[in-house]
Amino acid sequence: MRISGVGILDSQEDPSILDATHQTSTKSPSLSLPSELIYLVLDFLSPQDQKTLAAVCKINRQWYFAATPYLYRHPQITSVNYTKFVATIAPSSTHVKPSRFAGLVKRIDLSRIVHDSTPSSIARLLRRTQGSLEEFVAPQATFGYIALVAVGNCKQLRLLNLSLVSQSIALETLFQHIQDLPHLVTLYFPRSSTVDRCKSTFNWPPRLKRFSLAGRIGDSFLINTCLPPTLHELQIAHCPFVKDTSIKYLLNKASHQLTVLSINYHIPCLGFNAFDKVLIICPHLEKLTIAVDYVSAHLFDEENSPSGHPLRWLNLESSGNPGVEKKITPDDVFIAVAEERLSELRVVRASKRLGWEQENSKSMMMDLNELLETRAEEKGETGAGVWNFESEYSCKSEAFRGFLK
Amino acid sequence: MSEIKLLSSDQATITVEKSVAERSILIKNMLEDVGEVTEAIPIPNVNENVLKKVIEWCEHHKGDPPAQADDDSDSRKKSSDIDEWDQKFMQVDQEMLFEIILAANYLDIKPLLDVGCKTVANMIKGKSPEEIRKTFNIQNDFTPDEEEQIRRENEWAEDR
Repeated sequence: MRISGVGILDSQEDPSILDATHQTSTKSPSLSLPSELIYLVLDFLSPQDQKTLAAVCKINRQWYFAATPYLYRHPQITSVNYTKFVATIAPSSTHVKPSRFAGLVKRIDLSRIVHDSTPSSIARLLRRTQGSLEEFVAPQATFGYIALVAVGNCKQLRLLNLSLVSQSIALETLFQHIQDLPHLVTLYFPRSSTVDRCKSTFNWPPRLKRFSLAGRIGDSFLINTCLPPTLHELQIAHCPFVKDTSIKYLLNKASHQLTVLSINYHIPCLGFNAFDKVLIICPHLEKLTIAVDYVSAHLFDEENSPSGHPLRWLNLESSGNPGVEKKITPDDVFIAVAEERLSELRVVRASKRLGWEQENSKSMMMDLNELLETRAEEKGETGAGVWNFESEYSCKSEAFRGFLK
Repeated sequence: MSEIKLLSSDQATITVEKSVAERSILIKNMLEDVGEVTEAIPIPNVNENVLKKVIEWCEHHKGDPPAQADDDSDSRKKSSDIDEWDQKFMQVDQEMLFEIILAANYLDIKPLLDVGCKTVANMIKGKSPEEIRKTFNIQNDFTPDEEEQIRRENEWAEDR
């Protein structure tokens, strides 16, 4: 029965009754939550909802101190706000004035930055955040040597994605700066830019689990490199110069440790059936992504899909180039599963470019879907089936690259 | 079915089914420690109104499976999904909402605490600082200089 907002009445009320209920509940204008409960509330806000987090910082002191780490943890950085973000995190280049926020940043994703960054501003950002940064996605624009040096000092880094970098980076220099990153788990090579000067071996970061190979890598790199024993996930795509023999050589060396493999376009030197034996080469694969450009329907033949293979997840990509769309039909997969060879297979994803949704394939696809669901049900599992997807990976990035002069 | 008595901070005695009261980990642990109790258990931080409201929630949710020990991964993070009954239950004034959250925290009823915090999070979403202050009756204790400083340092977050 309080008339809130009319402060005069409050002071005339009998304090004894009020005190018996809750100390802060009636007298003071607000009942506040302790900071540990404010953190709980903030846990339920989406980290992407930057606008709300920024608003929360402005409420009052208590909320400001609680919400600031949430706002700076995974900042959404675009061309529009990049300069302002740098100004807050790394206000000056000469004067090392520590920023209160730098130590809060866990992820910097500059994939949406095109022309606005300079190597020196990136290096500054990295230097300021090096104590806390766990993930870094480099921008497409100029990256530069000083930024690479700064990356090497980010000792907490777990993910380093250089795939968009369009500037030349010498492999030797790259390894020199990343080899000592003690926590690096995921590494994406620059897609279009690595220069490989045939130096025989490089030291890999000690904990690397996932590696995405791309760029102007030569066969010698694949043949001479010793993948770290921790690595179990390998992606290969956008390698204009490598031949299938050197990829197979690499896979054979790592066959005992690979559980996830992706061989995607564009690798123009590969033949139309270069990887029909991929399941034989890699007997422990659980997830395989492969562009149908490099396999034929023989992938699912008896001698190439052995019984008891642990493959659970098959992702069929396609470059959409003429001639590749009809290479693999749902029936090819169906037979291998029905004959109990790929008995663990549960999920098949096919690029729409394979044309499985078209009239003549559709019923085959439904059959495959039903078979996979049945297999899953027998084991009491869920989530099996066939999915079609747009090959967004290429479309988007290709279109995007098209903008650049 | 056994019943126990709870004594609120304003000295009201409330009788409640033991299994309902045990949604509160605090009470559950207390009962396990002392065994049979006949006197009312004092809940010194929660008044009668709030305690009744909390018991109402516990009664509705008494059949729920016990919360997973370490369930703070993905399932907890989805802000918007509050079940319909809980949404209705949480349609109270701001003060009661905070009281319920504080009580759930004190009594250690994690699912109720989550529902309360989710409700607050949903009420905050998309609002301006002034609107949030008004909604939750929060005093702005910044000086104009501080406000200006915060505006400047977080400016990057507002346009993108």
